[in-house]
Amino acid sequence: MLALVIAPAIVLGIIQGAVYGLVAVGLVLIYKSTRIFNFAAGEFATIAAFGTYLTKDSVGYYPALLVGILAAVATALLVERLIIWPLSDRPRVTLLVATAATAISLIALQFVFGAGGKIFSARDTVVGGKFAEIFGVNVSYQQLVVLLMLLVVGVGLALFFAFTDTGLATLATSQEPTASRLVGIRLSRVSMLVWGMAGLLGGLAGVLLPPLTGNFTGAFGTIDLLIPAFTAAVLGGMTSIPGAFVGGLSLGVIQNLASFNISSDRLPGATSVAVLIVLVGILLARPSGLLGKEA
Amino acid sequence: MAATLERPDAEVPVGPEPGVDRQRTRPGMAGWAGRAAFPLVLLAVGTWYVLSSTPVHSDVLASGVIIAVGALSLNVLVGYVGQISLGHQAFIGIGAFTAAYVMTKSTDNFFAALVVAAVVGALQAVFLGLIALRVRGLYFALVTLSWGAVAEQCVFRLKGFTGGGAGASAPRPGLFDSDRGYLVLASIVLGMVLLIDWRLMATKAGRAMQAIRESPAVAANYGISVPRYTLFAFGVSGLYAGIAGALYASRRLTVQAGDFTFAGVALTYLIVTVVGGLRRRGGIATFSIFYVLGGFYLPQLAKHINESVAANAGYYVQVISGVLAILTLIFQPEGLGTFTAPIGRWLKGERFQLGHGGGGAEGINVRP
Amino acid sequence: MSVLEATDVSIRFGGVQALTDVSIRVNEYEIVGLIGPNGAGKTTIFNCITGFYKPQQGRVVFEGQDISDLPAHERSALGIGRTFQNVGLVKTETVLANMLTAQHAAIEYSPVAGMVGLPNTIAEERRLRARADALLEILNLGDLRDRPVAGLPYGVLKRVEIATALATDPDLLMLDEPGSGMGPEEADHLGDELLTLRKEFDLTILMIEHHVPLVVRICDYVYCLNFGKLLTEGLPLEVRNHPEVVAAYLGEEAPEAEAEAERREAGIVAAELGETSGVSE
Repeated sequence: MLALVIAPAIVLGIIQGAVYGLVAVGLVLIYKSTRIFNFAAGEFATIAAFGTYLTKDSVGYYPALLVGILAAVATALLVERLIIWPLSDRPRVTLLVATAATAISLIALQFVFGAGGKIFSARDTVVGGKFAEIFGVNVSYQQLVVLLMLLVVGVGLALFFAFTDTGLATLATSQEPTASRLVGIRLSRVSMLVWGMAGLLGGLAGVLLPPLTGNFTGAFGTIDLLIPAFTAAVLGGMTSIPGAFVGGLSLGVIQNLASFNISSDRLPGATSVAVLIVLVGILLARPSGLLGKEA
Repeated sequence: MAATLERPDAEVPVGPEPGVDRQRTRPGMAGWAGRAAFPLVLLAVGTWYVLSSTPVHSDVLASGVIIAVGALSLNVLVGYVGQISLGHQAFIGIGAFTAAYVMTKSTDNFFAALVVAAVVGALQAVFLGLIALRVRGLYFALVTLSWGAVAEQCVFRLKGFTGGGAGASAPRPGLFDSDRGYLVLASIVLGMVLLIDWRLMATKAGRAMQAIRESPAVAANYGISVPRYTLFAFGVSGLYAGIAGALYASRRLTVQAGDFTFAGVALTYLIVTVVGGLRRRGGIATFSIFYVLGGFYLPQLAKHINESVAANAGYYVQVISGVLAILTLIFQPEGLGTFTAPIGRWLKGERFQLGHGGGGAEGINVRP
Repeated sequence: MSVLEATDVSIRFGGVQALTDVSIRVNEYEIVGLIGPNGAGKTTIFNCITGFYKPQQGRVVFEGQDISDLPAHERSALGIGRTFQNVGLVKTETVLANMLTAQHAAIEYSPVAGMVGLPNTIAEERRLRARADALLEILNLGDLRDRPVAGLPYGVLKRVEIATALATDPDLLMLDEPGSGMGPEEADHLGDELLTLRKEFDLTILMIEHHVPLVVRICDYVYCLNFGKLLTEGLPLEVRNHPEVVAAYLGEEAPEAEAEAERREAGIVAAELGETSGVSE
């Protein structure tokens, strides 16, 4: 009996959490290297979804996926060059406000082009069909792809930071910007790289998520992804990439446990309440997160 | 009392700097006449506009006045005490639903509902403030973000409180029933809020908040209890927000959960506060009015230019405001306050000059 | 009578033992100097005394009262005024606004009363303004009354900070490198100013400083810290000439430093020490 209620929640939660994890890693990357909270991260995902949606009929689904992701990366780089870099020596809070302003500008832009009040279908998948039935839950290939993506990203980033010069340079700038500059690391390049990667991750989330539900709406990245992604990042202490992964997966599971077990008659919006409780709990108990290192 | 100390020739003479120092000259009769005329002229223009246009225009202005109150609420947190709130839709919405609740369940006296909404708003904010005492600045921003989502998805959908998805109704007070009348009411309330805010910043609580924003060490050194005045700031912010919410409810006559979203309220108020100028009341109030007038007239303008361009012109003003906010942060941190603050000083009897400095986004100072 | 007694203060941050058994005593009307190389823990002991840090061990007694468990703002209200290395002023506000804020502890009306503009608050505000003006006049800063702090030069800000510290009506004035950024003439004048202020306001002063000539000239007693421990204490000249103190600043072996001091005139060494100033801990 318990298994029936918990197991599906866990299975679905892991998959949903993987999407959160992708965005959360993007948040951690930016925070780790520049101490900026990027509130525009959600819209990278939305823009990717729109990019795919608008081009899939003309170029085919798989190329459209690429277009969507590239659109997200391009947006991220534009934001970085035009807004973030000019403000890079300002207090971190100014940048927070700037990314929030960016988010609303991007959202409003979507609505200007007609995204308001509409639901956009997204039925194409990377790989169609059902993969297996786990604990009574139908797991599709698309969902598996999401998990796989998370794995690939995780391993890739781990290798990147541990073994490449650029990766080490990125870590160096996060700890000691001035010293890094002195040894010849171009902060401007690192900044572009990190934001480009965040755009890539957000873009991946943006094109992989809609097929799971079959549709998406304008600004869904901010509405549905941003807060859980940030909470996941905080769970990982804002500075730990494995922490962001674990945080994302945990959060997805917690959310689904909440929504499966608490009906919206008793408590509407139980998932958001669960997220708030987790966030405040973590911050009050262990401000450095479950796996993070900063004081 | 004590003698003035003799100074040898200082290496860096620091005297009055022309153009920056406020001149302490007293204006003559003509000067005071001009200063008195200025607000009267504004009032005359406003009155003419209201009387010569349809009630819809008054309703639009009223919405701007209400946004001003809400933005002033956010200004207390972000501008005065240095706490970021990205969940202000919670503050405003709770005020609105409380007012509606009071008016449907017990008395339908608007003013009683206003007071209750203000108090509930303040209490809700103080609870959030308790968390702010323990959680550092940028992380606290995330908590407010999450709280806003909880408000949207949970609190505003509780059947007992808000009537669930259907919403609640909120009548207007008899005297101010018409759109024009309601604008007058809202303006009076805004005036009172501006007055209270002015006295707040001119006395010990406001100064304490600014010291806290600068650094807890400096504040403590001045004998200021950081927890006490941080919570006080949250309370004041919640108070203003509750008032804004009550005004909002009765303006619309019904309140629904969907009225208070992150993008529609929280981010909008943040933009208005930043572009208006942090800690610049005049700038904030002014930009609030520009914002709603822009939202009203831009679509009409767009229709004249081109039908297809006008399709979603309602969102133009948001895009423009977002871009303005970014430009403000990069180039002109004082926002509109660059212009309104000197006007304010002029009205108090000083010479008119720009460039006082120290305002706006330069002063954001939150522990990372 | 002792105004301040910090006894056996020890504090660690994570793995770093910042202070070990530091004891400092300041008697009434004394000017006590606190010297030591950068990173020695001088500002740290200041923060422990003012309550911004909570040491794991040690007590702080102020005017006979154990204040070790009091929060920082209450200690300030009891009569401890302090300045900061990085200038502890509200930078976006004017000098006058800072002077008013500094008098916070003396203000009788409640925050809410201020907000609604009760008449007694207006009268009180006028009184605060008058006191602020008087203090600024004494320090020759009256012209800067309405200038925003942000635009003023560093040396001026240090003196503005002293004005705000005085505005808190302290019995004990704790100054963190008041002479930093000053040349020898200005530092000399600062010394005069501090002596006069002590007389005018019945002050006791505890002062972190790198300007050794200034310390030697005006201090009645000096403590020297190094690596979080008390290296030595005593009369200014004794401390200055103490071989280990010289070694701590110059980084040489103690016996060699002694030989070095014998070879050169004391004044030259002092001049070299006096130049290592302005670098924050």
